Amino acid sequence: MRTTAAIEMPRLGAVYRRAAADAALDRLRGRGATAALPERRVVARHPGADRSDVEAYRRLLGGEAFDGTHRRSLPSVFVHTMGFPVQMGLLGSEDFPLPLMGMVHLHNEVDHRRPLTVDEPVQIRVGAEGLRPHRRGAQFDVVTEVLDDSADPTSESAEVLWRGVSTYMSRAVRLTDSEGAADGGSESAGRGSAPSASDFAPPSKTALWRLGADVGRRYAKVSGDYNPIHLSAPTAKALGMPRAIVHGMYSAARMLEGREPEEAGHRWSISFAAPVKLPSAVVFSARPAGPGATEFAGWSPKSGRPHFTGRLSLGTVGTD
Amino acid sequence: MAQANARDAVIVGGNRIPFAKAHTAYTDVSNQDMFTSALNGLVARFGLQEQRLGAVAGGAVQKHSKNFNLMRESVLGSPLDPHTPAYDVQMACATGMEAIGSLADKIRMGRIDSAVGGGVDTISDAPIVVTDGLRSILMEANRAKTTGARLKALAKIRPGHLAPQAPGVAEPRTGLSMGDHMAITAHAWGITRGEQDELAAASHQNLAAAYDRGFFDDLITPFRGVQRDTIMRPDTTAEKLARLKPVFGRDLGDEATMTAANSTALTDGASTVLLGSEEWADEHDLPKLANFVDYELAAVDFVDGAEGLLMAPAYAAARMLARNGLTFEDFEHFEIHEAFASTVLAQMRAWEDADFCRNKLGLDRPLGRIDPARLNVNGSSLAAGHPFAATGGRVVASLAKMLHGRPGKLGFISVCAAGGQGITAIVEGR
Amino acid sequence: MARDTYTELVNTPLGRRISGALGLPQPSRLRRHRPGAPVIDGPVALVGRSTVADRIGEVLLGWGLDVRRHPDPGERIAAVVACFDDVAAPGDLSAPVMELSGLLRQVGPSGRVITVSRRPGATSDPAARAARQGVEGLTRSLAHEMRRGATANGIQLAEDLDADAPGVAGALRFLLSGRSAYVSGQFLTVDTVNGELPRRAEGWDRPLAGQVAVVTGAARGIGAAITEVLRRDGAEIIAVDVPAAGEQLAATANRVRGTALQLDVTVQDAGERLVAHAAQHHGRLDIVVHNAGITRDKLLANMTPDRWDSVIAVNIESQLRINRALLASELFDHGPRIVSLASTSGIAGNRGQSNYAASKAGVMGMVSASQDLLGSRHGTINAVAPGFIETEMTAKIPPITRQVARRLSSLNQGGLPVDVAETIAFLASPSAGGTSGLTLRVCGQNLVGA
Repeated sequence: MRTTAAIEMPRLGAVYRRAAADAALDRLRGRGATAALPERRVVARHPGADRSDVEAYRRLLGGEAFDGTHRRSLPSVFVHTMGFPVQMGLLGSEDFPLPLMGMVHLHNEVDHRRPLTVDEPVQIRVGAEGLRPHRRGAQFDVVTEVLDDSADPTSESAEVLWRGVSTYMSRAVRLTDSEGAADGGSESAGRGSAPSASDFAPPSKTALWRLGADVGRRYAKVSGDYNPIHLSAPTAKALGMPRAIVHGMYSAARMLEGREPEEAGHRWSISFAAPVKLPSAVVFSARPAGPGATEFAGWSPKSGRPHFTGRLSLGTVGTD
Repeated sequence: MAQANARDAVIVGGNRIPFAKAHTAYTDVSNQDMFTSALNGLVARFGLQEQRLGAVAGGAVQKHSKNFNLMRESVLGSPLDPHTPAYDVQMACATGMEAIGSLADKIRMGRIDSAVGGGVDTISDAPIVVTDGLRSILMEANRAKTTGARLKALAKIRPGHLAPQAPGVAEPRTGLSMGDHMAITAHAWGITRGEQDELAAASHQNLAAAYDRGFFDDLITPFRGVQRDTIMRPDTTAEKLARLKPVFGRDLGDEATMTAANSTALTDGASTVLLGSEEWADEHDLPKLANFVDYELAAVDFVDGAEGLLMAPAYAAARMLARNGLTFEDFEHFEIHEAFASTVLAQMRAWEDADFCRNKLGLDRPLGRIDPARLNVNGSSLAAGHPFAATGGRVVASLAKMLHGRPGKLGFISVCAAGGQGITAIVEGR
Repeated sequence: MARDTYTELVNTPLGRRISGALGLPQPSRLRRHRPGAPVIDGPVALVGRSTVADRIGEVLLGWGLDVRRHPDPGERIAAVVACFDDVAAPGDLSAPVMELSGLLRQVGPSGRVITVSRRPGATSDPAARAARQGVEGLTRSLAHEMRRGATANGIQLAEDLDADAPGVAGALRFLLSGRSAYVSGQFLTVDTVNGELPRRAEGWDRPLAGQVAVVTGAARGIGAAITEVLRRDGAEIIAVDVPAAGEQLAATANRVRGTALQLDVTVQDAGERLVAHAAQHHGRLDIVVHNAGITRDKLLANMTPDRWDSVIAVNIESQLRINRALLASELFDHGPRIVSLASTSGIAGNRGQSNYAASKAGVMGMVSASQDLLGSRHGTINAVAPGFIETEMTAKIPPITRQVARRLSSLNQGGLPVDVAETIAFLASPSAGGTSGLTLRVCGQNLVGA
């Protein structure tokens, strides 16, 4: 049985500062990557989504107002931002074997089981698991679960209102059996496989996103994710990216905007390929994929290379 | 549908100013200037000075916030009796049609006896909006009670805030331009480049011929020295147009078909239509060109591509024809607004298509073919231009004139609009 | 419209002293018609002992004027009406002429001298025609001698026309009033008993009440002024101009609360379209003013077919064609009036205007030849020949030429569009029903102009 440690809601700024310092230290002394993820989970209490934060999110993504009457249920991606500091708290902790800086977000899938609303206090439980090979290093999953405020976070039978699995890749470690290991080599890789440029045939477009240079900064303000690779070209360059790139979850948020049911009970996933450099345009497609299901894709209007593919399944109809 | 107890809504006539390519002849004039001028010409043509009309309604798609009462301000600037009420209408490119249709309904109901419907648009004087960031800073400075607080607020302005934001022509929910939307629909319906160019060339030739015949002598009043629609190219041919490069749907590669010539150019202009009851027209010695019989609004779910953005008139037509017990064969003239050549062709293709008519319109058999010889015979938007809200007035006045003196002959109107909307209408000659 | 700044200048006290000292022309501000104003302000002296003179005296008294057979010496008088209708030989002129002579110094600013005589052509008696034609010479010379905006004109009556004919009173009133401000040295003929006078005094201010008038070339200049004067006199206006002038035309129509008809008068069915518009929008048609005209000046040696043909087509052929359509219409059948715009160029000719002068002389020919056609419907047709009028067109004349042209008239100034319009309104009015086939010059007794 995994241990569950209660922590204070981490402050992302502190996490990133420590991560940057660690990265510098690692370069000095060379960090030996350990092949084991911590068994423990962390849990933090969240006082509930702040109304003004939700409104700021809406202003950025568009869509209808969260007036508490006609639109109450928080978007899945907003819930993700509530759990994100806890994720980072775990990934940035001293005993976490992989450096936070340089991790690449490969995939996300969310099972949004119950509606969550503004000012509703919750507990957020995060654990890491499934360390496995990736052709450029190793990948693992961060499982984020949102529990009711009154639930027992140490119990496996506590009702999970929202469950998200974020798959990250780290180049800092190579697992011994990584030679020739395809992305599809592990149990969850069927979902985690990024769309490859060669097989991608753009479907008929239904929208065009014009992303200004400030989209990374604006989403950072809304989500609290001030990872420097999203903020500006100079800060991105410092971390080896030629230009700032958009947050993966920004794409997920736009993909889902206006399509999630108020009563929740839906599942969705997104797999990231080439990052979206800022500023740029993304061609988007939403198309029906069987009862209650929609498939999404986003790609570059210039090169035709995919940025992401995604899928949304409503209710209990249609499994993915 | 004509109710047994409703009276006729009579189209007395119309007046518009020549339409001018955006950023050319009308760069320094406002929506209000243009609409007032169109109204002045209408008042002069029909001797309406100092008359109190039942209502003046219309609007502009690209509108300054200062023009919150655009129609009323135009009335006050015209020779009409200042006791004439006026209100703004906005339904994207169908603004003019909706204004005219609802005024006709009011006349038919007996609520008013006379009305002017129309619209105006300018790209040249379009409202430029500041960024959201700058706006919130300016509002904060405006609310500040002390100079210090005001300066503190203003100090937050950054160069990036100052970039003006021109109003988009993109659909808000998709970010795609109307042309790119239409390119998807055109591709899906297999509309060829050749047929689009032919339609465009015919539009220019028909419009030029109508001018030469004097058809527009009592439909247009010059404005600012402009006497004819400036986009019109009388000598154009499909062969000339075939040389242009596609501008929309370029991601279709070789299959891209939509060029700057078979798509309407951005245009400035204004139009008006005078409506009245039969009794009112007779009392004022006014002509009765035609009746505005019926009109129908429709909208489609275009956001995730379930239907083409500009296909709503296909649905409106089916409902309107059924309600009036009519088929396309009953119509003498068809005025299908040429937002793009492919818009007209896709609608016509859909009406001929058995699957579309069965699955989408719920009809046993297709609505049928429209004879191209009856389509847009005096030119349409590709040649005249398309100042969004002004197109409805242009079409209604021209069609009413075509049907004048031919009692009982019917004319069909289709105008598509942003947001997946559209209007169709029936006009009957008298 | 060009401003005559010289006339404005000499009408200031300093300007008058300077121009007087330099011996420069001294143009006066002309008395022009204002609704409600008296026909003329001051005593009217009556010269002559004929029954016509007696009848005229009664008419003047009927208008409430102060009529004097023997004004006091030195008294300022507003007008002299001198009747020569009974002269049978040149010798008969002497007595009335000397009486008139004695009164001239008493005539005030914008005063009037009106001679009344029988038409010379109506008699074949050499001595009688000599005497009558002598009155013409006398009147024209006197017009040149008038000062301070005063004018001299004549009324010529048909041989047996009774002085009770409405046309006599109508002509008298027009010439006395400010409506004829820029008419001088001219003769108004009254040939028939046709016509009608207002039944009430106020009727003189709205002689066209209830009538419908078409004015072509109405978008601007003289045409626009005609619409305003006809409207002021009570007519409903149909303002016509080419579609290209539509914006100004609409402004004109809206100003006079009429309807605008965008129509090129040279199209084949222009007359039918005029009639149809009048029938639809106004239900009647009483007056047509052919004002539309163009100039395409060129010395005849350099004339091109398009310049010649377009001027002929617009200025005269269109009028002939429209008149045919009007006379074929039942709408234009109740005492209809046609007034055409001729030009002093058509009378005297003008260098570089052979095409224009031909067209305008043609108008005069058309008018004189059409009087019987109109007469059969109790209607009239006349022409007005403007001299130098301050318009957008004359504003384009080089400044020196323009100043000279203005001062060549007996009134030392150019006329205004309203002066032309007033004469047209008079000829269109019921009181001018006895006058037809005439070309009346509105030129300040000048032969320069367009």
